[in-house]
Amino acid sequence: MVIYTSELLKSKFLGIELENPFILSAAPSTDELSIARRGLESGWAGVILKTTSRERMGVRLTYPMMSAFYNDGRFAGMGNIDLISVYHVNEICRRIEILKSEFPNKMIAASMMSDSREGWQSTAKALVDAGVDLIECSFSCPQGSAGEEPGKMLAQNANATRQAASWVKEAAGSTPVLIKITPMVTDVVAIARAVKESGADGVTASNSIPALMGVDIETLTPIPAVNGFSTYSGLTGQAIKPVTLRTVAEIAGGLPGFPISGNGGIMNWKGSVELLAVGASNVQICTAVMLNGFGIIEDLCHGLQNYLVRKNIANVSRLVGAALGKITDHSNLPLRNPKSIINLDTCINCGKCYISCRDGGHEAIGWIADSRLPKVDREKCVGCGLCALVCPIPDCIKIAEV
Amino acid sequence: MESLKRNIDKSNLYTEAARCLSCYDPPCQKACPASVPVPAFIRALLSGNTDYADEIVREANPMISTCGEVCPAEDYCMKVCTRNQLDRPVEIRLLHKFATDYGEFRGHKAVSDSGFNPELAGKKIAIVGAGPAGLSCAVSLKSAGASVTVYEKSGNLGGVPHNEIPESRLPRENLGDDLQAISSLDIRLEMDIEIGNPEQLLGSFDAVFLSSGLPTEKRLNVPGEDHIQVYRVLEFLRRAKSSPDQIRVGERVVVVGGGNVSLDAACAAYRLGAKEVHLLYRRGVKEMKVWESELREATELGVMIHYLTFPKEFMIKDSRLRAVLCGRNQLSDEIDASGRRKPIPLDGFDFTLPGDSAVVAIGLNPDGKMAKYISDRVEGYRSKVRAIFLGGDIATGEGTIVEAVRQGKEAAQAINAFLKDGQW
Repeated sequence: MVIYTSELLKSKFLGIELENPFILSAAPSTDELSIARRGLESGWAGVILKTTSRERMGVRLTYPMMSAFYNDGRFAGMGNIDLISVYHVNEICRRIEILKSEFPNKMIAASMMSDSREGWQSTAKALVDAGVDLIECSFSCPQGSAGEEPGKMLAQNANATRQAASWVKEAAGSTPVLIKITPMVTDVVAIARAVKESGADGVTASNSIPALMGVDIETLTPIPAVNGFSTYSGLTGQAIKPVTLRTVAEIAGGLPGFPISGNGGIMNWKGSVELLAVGASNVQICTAVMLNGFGIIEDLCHGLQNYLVRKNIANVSRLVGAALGKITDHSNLPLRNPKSIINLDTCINCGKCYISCRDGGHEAIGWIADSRLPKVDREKCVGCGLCALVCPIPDCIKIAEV
Repeated sequence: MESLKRNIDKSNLYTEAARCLSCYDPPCQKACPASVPVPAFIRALLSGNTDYADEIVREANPMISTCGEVCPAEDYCMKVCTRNQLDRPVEIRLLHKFATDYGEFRGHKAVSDSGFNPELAGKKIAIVGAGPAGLSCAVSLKSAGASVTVYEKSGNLGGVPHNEIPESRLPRENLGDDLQAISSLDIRLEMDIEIGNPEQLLGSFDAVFLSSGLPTEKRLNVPGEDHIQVYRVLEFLRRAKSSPDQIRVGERVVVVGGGNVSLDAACAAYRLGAKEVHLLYRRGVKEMKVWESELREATELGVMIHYLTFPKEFMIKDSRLRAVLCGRNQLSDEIDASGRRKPIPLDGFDFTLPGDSAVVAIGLNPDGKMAKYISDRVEGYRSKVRAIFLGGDIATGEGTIVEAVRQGKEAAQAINAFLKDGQW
């Protein structure tokens, strides 16, 4: 059997052909023409040029803007105090024309932001006139956003979101419009519904998460320090993946069929499978590229492709929302009482399960000192699963009904 | 030579420290003679609490910087590391070396909260010999509140690590760090004083700890052994360390022995400029009592080991050593007192090995004057004489530094108990 593997990854999103589901999100990797060009050359299906604006909006960048937090020395998440692009809409339109002519089969999209009806609409029109494939509107940049109240993001208010989104859609006409939203709301479905009601085509879920990246304990200055002061960052990277998955799942569950471009915390192909499975139609990536370069696209595509072949899934679009039916309210979950089952043949006698159950579980695992083996007391074990999490050996501890 | 030494610095600390599984009832800690709290100090390194890591490893082992360089950890903590079952052991020795290299130790606590024994206050204890066992005993007793005086016949603290371990294996700074930390305690040091009769000390001390090591060398009793170019190993190592410019070993050196000290001598001979170093060992490779790390270092340097070989004569011509007449052994099935197969000489296989100098490293004995304390030694570090305790190499023969530390610490507890109840 010959598998035309590239067919597996192809999909259509809002009428746009995507050769694979991986899109470079509006970020530093799309903020220079030469860099965006290299991204497309290396195999990414599309770019969303970094958020542009009208000339009268000043973009006051300060440095350093990047920071990170670590767990036991390992990178756990990234932060930035970046703002929108310093390039205004005329320059972005020029780039759209260049990239469209160089890459006619790739998605050339642009992100934009404004603060008035006139601003949103004139910017959108300019982008459409330049031939942009899709417009993304940042309603959720943590560092600077024209919300209805100072300091508030547009996407934190359903009415403001509906209003501004409808302005953009009105100006964009048949060009698809995505509204990039924030997970930092009480009810993200209400915001997505407002987007839908506005006539806009879908959401990008979701943006970076406002965060304080840390405090330098030597100087007691939060990071990143800019001349002795700091501010809140936008948190990205693996740390936010669970938040993105929840956000996308809630929207996809609450507004079935409403298009979602997924974004936030996907670092590899496995993460992309997860994001697609909870309802995103494609996967935007930024941090993983900033850390490892455009070359990760190879592993992303081949990993996803091999997965689809292995699981006998005919096309990536079949994956979209595949896990949604299995998310329910806690109150609907069946009552079960599984037990910890430890395979003593593969146990390496570290005792981590014993310590965790003793101090963070139910004192259900005993310790046989001579043989250095754990022993589960099935009367006390409730099957919480903590032991399986801390065990360093894959599949050594199973949680199952006995 | 430096390339042989692996290291952990700030760039790879987390990678290695995070490999520790932090096991329950940690096997590594139990295998460490000094009971260094391995998972606890590694956790402190991971959290960036380097000073605390330094503090707790040094509380357990006052010779920790020295051990960071020379402890045969592969045969202790690393041998039982749970990660052996996964991939390879955590580099525990390099991690505690990191703790002592980078941590800022603020001195031993004069009286530790847990160890303080009010009944020890005012008690006076004399320690004979300032090697690892004696110094560890001194630190434990001082920390517990006793008044401690250390007598050392040489002008230096540190014993074997100071005098004999080659500087290539143990940089002076590391031993220096240990000695400096020990010096932060109010321990009285009486240097250049040889105690000939320890019992006399009982006139002014409540107890005595003998840790004077093994200063006497065993002899081969073969012709030529007393020639000036046939070195005794202790003298050889001391001179190699203190005045390497004044020792000429020539191109070919023949070392006789099969222990770690003989390997040290063989390595030292290379560093003194020898082109060829031969080691003669009378038994087989399995009988050799050496640490893997030392054997590896010696073979990497090029030391040629001749097993089942023993010297019959150091051949002198024109008052210079020219060669060593060697005989060959075979191993019998008879097991000797050391638990190893006994070598039996073979007739007709003698050969000569050219040599410009030789080093005899066949074993060390305690000072003959101390013999009366050692024989028929009872349990609990007690000598035959009331109130005189002993530990370290003098008690158990050539051992590791960390083993001497254990004995020093345990002897301190035995002394503590004795001073409390007076029972002998």
